[in-house]
Amino acid sequence: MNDSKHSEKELLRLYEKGDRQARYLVYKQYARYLTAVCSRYVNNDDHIKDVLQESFLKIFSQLGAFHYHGEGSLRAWMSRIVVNESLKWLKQNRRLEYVEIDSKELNIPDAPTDTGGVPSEVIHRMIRSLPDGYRTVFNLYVVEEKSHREIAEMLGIKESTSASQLHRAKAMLAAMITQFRNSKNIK
Amino acid sequence: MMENDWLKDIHNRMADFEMEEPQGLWEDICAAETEGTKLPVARSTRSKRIGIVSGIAAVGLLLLGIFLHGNNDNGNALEERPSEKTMIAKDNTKEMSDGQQAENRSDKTNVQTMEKHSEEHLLTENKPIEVKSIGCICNKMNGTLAKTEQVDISHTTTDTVSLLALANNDSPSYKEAAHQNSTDHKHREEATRGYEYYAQTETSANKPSRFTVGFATAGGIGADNRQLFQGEMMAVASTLGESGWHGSPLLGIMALNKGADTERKVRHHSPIRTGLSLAYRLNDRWSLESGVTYALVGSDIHEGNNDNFVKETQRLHYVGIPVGVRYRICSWKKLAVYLSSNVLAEKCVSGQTHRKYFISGNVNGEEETTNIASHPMQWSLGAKAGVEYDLNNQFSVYAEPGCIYYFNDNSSLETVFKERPLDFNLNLGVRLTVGK
Repeated sequence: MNDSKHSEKELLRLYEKGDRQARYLVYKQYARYLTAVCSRYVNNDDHIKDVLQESFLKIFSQLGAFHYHGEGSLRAWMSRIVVNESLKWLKQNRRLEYVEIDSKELNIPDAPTDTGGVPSEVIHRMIRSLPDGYRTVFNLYVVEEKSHREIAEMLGIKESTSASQLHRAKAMLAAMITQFRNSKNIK
Repeated sequence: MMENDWLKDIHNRMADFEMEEPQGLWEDICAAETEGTKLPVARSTRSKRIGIVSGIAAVGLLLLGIFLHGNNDNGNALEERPSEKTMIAKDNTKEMSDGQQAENRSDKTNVQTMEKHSEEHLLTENKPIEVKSIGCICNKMNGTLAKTEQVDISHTTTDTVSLLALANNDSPSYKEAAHQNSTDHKHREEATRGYEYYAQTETSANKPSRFTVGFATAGGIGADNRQLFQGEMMAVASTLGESGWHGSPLLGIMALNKGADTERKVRHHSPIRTGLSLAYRLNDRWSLESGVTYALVGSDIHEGNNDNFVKETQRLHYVGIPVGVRYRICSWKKLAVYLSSNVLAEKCVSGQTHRKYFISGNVNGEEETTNIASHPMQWSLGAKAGVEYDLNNQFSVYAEPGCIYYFNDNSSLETVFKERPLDFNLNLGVRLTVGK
């Protein structure tokens, strides 16, 4: 199998030419990355495939209209589609609990945490194990770099609620990372 | 914006993280594109379609039952309604034969003596004519009976049949019929009163009220949901001291469960629905119904294991408006049987969750109550069979066993409506006939 990667510009050029392999090349190049994106939101393995199918169908149906603006723009665009489909699935199938917390707790600074020595797949697994609401806000804020205002609009919640979820998510994640490091005697 | 370096590190790592895609994903995408459909149908969509088909089937069965029943009305009316209440004269045979419940009930004592199904034959001529017909027949029979006053129609069916037979020159002799009718003065008086009732009814032009108001409460069947988690978080967490998770009891509980299997048990209680209804009678069989309802929807959630767990209660409050139709099948004395179907639109106006955290089986002292932000609309379709019993002229009580299908509200709320979209319930209520 040819594992060489194509540039996004080249992929789009092939697609526009009507190359029959273009779609498969797009799929092959980004399926693993998009699976990782989806799995951070959808922690039920049985449904990741469904969400990815919907995402790729949407990607291929809109690929012709995509406006390329630099290397990485195609990947970012596809990632946004996967995130949106994942959020749609979460809203339809899961209970996204949003817990308000006392403002005093919000003011407590985060405990310093060191992720050194913790493998990425372990970090990924830890994120997947967070409760739905915490995990969703954490992913949107930390990984997708959305603001609380944007998150509030996307999820239909208040900004303060978004902040609460993030605070709790960080506390949980920090505890898990600390414990992992201690268990592995990582200095 | 990264507040801490560790978050920035997580961002950078997850931005490039990749993992094996699901097996067969590309083939499924190709198949979906070839068929021009999105597949597979999500479970929620599948169940929604099943539910819609079930709802349509329920309504279809209701209409079919009404249609078949209506056809039977034209045929063996006597067989199907062995003891119809008597009639207020109406414009057509069928309606007269069926009687009108509200009218009948309001003058029950007067007409009870007239409750004979065979009277339908006599009544087919219309209005007070039915009574006159009796008189005419008697006169024909023996020539000695004065009009209706001397007609004994309070006896068993046989008597009336005899009268009919006589009118048709069939069986018992005229003498026998006359004898039967002349020997029971008391019954004649009753019959007279009954006749007078009819005359009064017809002449006063009292029409039955078309409006009824009802109050009912309904309960259904709840639902349970259990999920067993072998949480990955448990696999990487271990015991922390209390100070490690102070202020975050959920984290503490999850950490203390040390990689053990945890279970999430959800018990959805059957919704308790109560409300006021208003019915408008279109004719003696059909009525339009509407009103306002309130429903309390509760769920209990237990998450964790036997030692360390979170106990949560969810209470949702729905206000709704039903719109539907009711079809009266038959009535007998004070009882009436009917079918009804309605569409119910409910709005979740408020909801709260209350959590208690238990460490080693003891309440940790942490409790929190949260207002639920989601306020979805809940649509449902219901079909019921009902039995109504008249207490007096105005009040009646009823019981309506039935089924209801809840459509997906596309919200994130976890409710009995989603867990058990097809529910069976029992409505119990009181009806008041108002106005004229």
